[in-house]
Amino acid sequence: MRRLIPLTLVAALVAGLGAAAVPSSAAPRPKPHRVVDLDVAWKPPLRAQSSRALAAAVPGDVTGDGLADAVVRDPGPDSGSLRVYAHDGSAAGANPWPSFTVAAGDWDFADVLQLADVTGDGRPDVVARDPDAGNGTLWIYPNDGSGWPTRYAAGTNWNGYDQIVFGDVTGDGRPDLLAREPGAASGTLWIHPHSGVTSGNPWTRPRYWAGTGWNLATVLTPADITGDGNADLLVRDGGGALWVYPHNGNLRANPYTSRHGAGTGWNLASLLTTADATGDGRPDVVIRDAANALWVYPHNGTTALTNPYTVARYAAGTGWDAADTLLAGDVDGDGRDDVLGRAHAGELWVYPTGAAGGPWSQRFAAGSGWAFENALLLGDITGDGRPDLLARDRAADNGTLWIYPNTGATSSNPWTAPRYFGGTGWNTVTELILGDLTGDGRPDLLARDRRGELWIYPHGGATSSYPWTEGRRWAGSGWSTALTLKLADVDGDARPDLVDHERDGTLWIYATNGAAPIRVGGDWSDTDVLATGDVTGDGRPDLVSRDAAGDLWLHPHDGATTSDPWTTRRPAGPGFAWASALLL
Amino acid sequence: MAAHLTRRTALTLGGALAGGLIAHPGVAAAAPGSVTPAAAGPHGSGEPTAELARTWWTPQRQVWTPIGWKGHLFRFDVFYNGTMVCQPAIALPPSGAATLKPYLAQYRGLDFQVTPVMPQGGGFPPLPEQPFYLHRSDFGVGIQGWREDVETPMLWTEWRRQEGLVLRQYTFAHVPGGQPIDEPGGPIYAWQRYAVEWADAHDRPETFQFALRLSRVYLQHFIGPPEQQEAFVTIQATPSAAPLAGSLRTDRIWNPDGRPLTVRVYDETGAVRLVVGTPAGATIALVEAEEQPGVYDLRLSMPAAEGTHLDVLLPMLAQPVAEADAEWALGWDGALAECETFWSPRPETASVISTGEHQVDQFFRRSVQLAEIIAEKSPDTGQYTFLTGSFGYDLLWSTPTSMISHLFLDLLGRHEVVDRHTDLFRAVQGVRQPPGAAYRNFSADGFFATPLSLQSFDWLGDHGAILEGAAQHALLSHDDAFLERWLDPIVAACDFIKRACEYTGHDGVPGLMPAAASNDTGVEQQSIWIQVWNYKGLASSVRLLRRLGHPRADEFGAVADRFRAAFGDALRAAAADAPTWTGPDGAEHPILPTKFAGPASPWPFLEAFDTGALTAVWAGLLPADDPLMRSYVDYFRVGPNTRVFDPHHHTALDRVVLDHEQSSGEPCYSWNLFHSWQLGDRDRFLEGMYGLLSGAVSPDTFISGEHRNAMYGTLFVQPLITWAARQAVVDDTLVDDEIQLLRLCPLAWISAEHETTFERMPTLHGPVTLRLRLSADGQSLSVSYDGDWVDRGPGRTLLHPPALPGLKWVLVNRQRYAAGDVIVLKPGR
Repeated sequence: MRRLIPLTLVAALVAGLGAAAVPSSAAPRPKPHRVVDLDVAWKPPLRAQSSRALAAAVPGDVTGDGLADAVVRDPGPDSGSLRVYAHDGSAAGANPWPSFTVAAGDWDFADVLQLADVTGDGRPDVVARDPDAGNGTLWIYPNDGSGWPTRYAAGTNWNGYDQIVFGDVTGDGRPDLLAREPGAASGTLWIHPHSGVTSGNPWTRPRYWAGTGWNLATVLTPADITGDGNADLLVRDGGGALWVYPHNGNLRANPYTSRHGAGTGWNLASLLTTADATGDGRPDVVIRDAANALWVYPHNGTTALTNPYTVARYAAGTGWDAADTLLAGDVDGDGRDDVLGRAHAGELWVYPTGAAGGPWSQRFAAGSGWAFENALLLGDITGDGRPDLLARDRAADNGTLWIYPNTGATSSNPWTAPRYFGGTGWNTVTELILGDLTGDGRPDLLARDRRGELWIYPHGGATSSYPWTEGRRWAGSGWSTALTLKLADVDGDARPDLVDHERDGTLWIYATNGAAPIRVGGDWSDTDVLATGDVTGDGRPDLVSRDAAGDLWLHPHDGATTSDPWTTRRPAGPGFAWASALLL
Repeated sequence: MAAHLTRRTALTLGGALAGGLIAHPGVAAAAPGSVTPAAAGPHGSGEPTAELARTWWTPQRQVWTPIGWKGHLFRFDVFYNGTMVCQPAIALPPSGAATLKPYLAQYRGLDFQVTPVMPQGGGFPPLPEQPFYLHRSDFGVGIQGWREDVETPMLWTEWRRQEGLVLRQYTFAHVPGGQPIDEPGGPIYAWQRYAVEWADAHDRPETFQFALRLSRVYLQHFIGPPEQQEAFVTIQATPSAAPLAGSLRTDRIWNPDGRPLTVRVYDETGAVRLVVGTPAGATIALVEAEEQPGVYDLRLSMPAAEGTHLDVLLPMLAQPVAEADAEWALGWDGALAECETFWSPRPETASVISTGEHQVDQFFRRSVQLAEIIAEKSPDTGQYTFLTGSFGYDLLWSTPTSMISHLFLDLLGRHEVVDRHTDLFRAVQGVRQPPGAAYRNFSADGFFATPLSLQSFDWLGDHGAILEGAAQHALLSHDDAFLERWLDPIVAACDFIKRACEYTGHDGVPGLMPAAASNDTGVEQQSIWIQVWNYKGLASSVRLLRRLGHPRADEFGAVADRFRAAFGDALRAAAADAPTWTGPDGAEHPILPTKFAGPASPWPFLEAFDTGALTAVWAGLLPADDPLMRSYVDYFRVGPNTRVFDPHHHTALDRVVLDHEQSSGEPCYSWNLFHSWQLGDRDRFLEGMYGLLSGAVSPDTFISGEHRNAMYGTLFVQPLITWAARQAVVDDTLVDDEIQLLRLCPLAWISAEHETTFERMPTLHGPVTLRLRLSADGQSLSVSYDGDWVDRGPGRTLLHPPALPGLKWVLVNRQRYAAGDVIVLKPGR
């Protein structure tokens, strides 16, 4: 085991479900689970570290050996803690993060989790945002050399930003705060300069504007890509193209006024960040692909305004699917959504998805006694990155909702923790769906009332008590004829769309962006169960249907975003007639 | 009032003094509150104004007002509470006759009603299961008016909500293309806007929700035994009529972001029943009533911020998607722009009236538009006709509706409109059999009647009314082209009256028109009603023929003389045998009959006034100062009927009294106004005129009711108000060959702040224009007067200086006259 202290330099890679780990995936979020903000690599200011050897100056180095380490959230018993995958010194071409150690702490509350040397002592501090406190409280956890045992607040009301990252933009060697305001001019970027304060909130000086239209970014991460000592921005857009926005040298106004390409096809990454994996002091691109393999794309050393990522990639290990706390819906931690079947007897089973995306031939029990409920949903309600179960007990108080937190167990019933209350009176609705419709990363409840109107009950952020306390919001009408409604980001715009299985046997996709409804081809009359989820692991929602014979069919998403994406199907397992519910 | 009585004032008020021989002025009006405080009124005169007259009655109930397009087959009727009725068929067929508007048969059952429903107790009240009189649900009153900044007749209806906002509905009609009607039954749309007109800055909801209840037309006319507080013909909500035959639906709506939406509501055939455009943050849901299948609530909510609005496009008949989309694509502003182009032009001959009294001026502005909306172009013949009403009286009662021509539009220079809507009668002349047995014994040549497809009831008076309309039009329009078409029909019509009066083979009074059906009761009577209309038509024709030098003018003049004499003799004879009433002076006076022969009518009280002997003054059969007329008009002012008159609870069929000089039966027949005019009874004349303006038409939308609180959608009263306003200022009929200026002009129309104008007012001699403005010091009145004579002009023109305290001079075309007496203008002026 490598030493954990003193921690000097780090580059942090926090793994998560594509979507969960943020804008990190341009691919559609496979499930409308909680979005946890980008946990991006900390970029130590080169200028401030100029006296150090290059080997010690690279970002991502937790262990202080000059090599970038990776930090991921723990999936299992250490849930909420951080795993430190220390770089083992491997040269370029070999996996530098073969093993990990566990750092203490429970970081589940944070929807923004970053590393940055805020205190100026050369050690990466943790910066975390608690969205449930003070409309977004930012906490700084100073690195004392042994870890991050204490904290102090760095202001409140940070929830107005959906992206918070750190980089030295003002040239003073301190991490400035870069934040995106998504509701302003298609994403306005603001820079909060670091004031120099080392024991209090350092981001109190007036912010300044750094351009608009940044909502195009599904990944936004600062890194000194051009080698000039200033933090550039590396951005992946919705189409999968990577862009470098070089710092223009302006230290008091918008530094990002031009860009150049860094290749396309980056949607293959379900996670994307930068870290110096090769030890050359340049930020390499580190991705996790759909197969949950980690890959390093080395920086080619260029300082020109050209694509720096032209060198062939190399593997950085597999099994990163184990970092599953953020992989909502991926119960067994393999990075793919699993299938859960509910037996008529009230037993719950988990069918882990195989590498090829079904069929689901194996299963493990997830408890019994589920017969009391008549609505069963899966979603990360508690915000811990794990899919919790939401059940409605129709017999109690005109419909009582119960939330069964996921314990993190990956090969046995994960819903054994004490349930908590989710409100009463839910019998007034005829359909319940979970999905993040408000864009805050939390699963809201979408409910259909008896008149066929849809209502959003926004998740208010509470993670251990009734979360849908805010006023409901209207979302549509005319849905009385729908047999089944599902939420899935079919068109890949990072917002869940409505999948509508009508009583007349037609199937429709209603895009949330207002585009005309798409009719899914085929006759769905004999389909009695329908579910959506990313079974194939490509980041797009596939469709699983059960026919009249009880056989499951997988309809893989073919990538189409403006037309029917489910044009083919393949068998996904026979003999599911016994199941009364099918959740993805 | 008489504190500073001058000779001029005495002249002005002479009629009132004369008219008060029997009645005591102080008790003349039967209704409470009729005595105007002396210090009130314009110039401290105590005279009424339109505003004051609004306080004389409780608000009128169950008013509905049509919006539409000139000549279109269909109209939308907007109720006081914003309910929109789309009734493309006949709303109240008087019979099942297949002849009635056969071209509307295809639209039966396609009616549609949109009822705004406001939240109540956290929800929306369902439609009750049992029938109920509409006004009992909400007192039958609402807050409504015309939008005044546009020429387009655009109604608004307002809901003042205690949630902290004012919701207002705007409605106007539009025809695709915005052009004059080609296909009378083509698509017509109502554009509606529901806008947050005002919101409390401190205490208002985030959103406001209301519903549009979609159904078949369940507001129905209820004609039954009258009861107190009803109006004989009242509106009954009949829930059993509400369910639509087919279902309605919308597309499924998925809008979690609250984007503005366009939502179509389809009927069961897939046609568009209506379209709704919602603003950002709005909600919309179509919900079928659980207890009333076929009735739908379109639930709408929008942010409660001032200026927020949602639009509704409502076709009269469900339209194909492409048609509705094309109309919707115009947008509110686009459609309104076309409407403005359509409604703005004014005919060259059209009069312009500006009195400075807002209600008066707006009344004329909208009334002339309504006249062409409550009208249609026949899809069968291509001919236009006025209709008696919209939603209810969608047919043609030719007698009262003729007044739209000769007492309304022709007096306002709308000659082309009158010509176009009168021509249909020529084709019917001599074709129909008069509705009386006696008439089968002589030729019906020349007999005018209502075309069968439009006829509700057959009245013999229709002949005289149609003739009067044609003759007066010719007299006032001086239109040679019209005469070319109409001279022979007019002569033939006179011939018919001559034959009828000369026919003696009947039991009635010889020399008069024999008995025939006179009104909707169908009873054949030798009624006064049929006499006055036929005499009036004949007399006007004689005036026309004499102007033209027609060879038969004197022949018909003699017929008219004999007719008048026979009528006078018959009435005096009847009066001698009539029961009597005792006046305040203790004298006995006859209660004049309504007929000379024939059986009793089931509506004796109504007929006694509305179609009774008082009509004789208007017709010219008796002068107003005839003792029979003097006493009989007072019978209705202070006679025994007034003792049982309950101003708050009465029906049209109750004993009639004059309530603020207005018939408590059917106000449009307030013939007493002609008495007051002729007698110069200024107080009563003005009380009657303003009373009609505020109590017989809606003071909000100016639509008329047949009687107060019932059967709106008509222009019954427009003629009398127009005639009175015109006669008050420009009078060419009091004395032959004279024009009297300002004889009964309300003092409210004389002001230093406003120039009162009556432009291009038609007279028997040609149109005249009059402009008035008082000097700032009130000592002189400037009058600009100009006549565009088509003949040598009137033999004499008199100007009656208004009785204004301190008025010393009248400047007529800059010629100064002393204001102390009636001014005789120089000949030709």
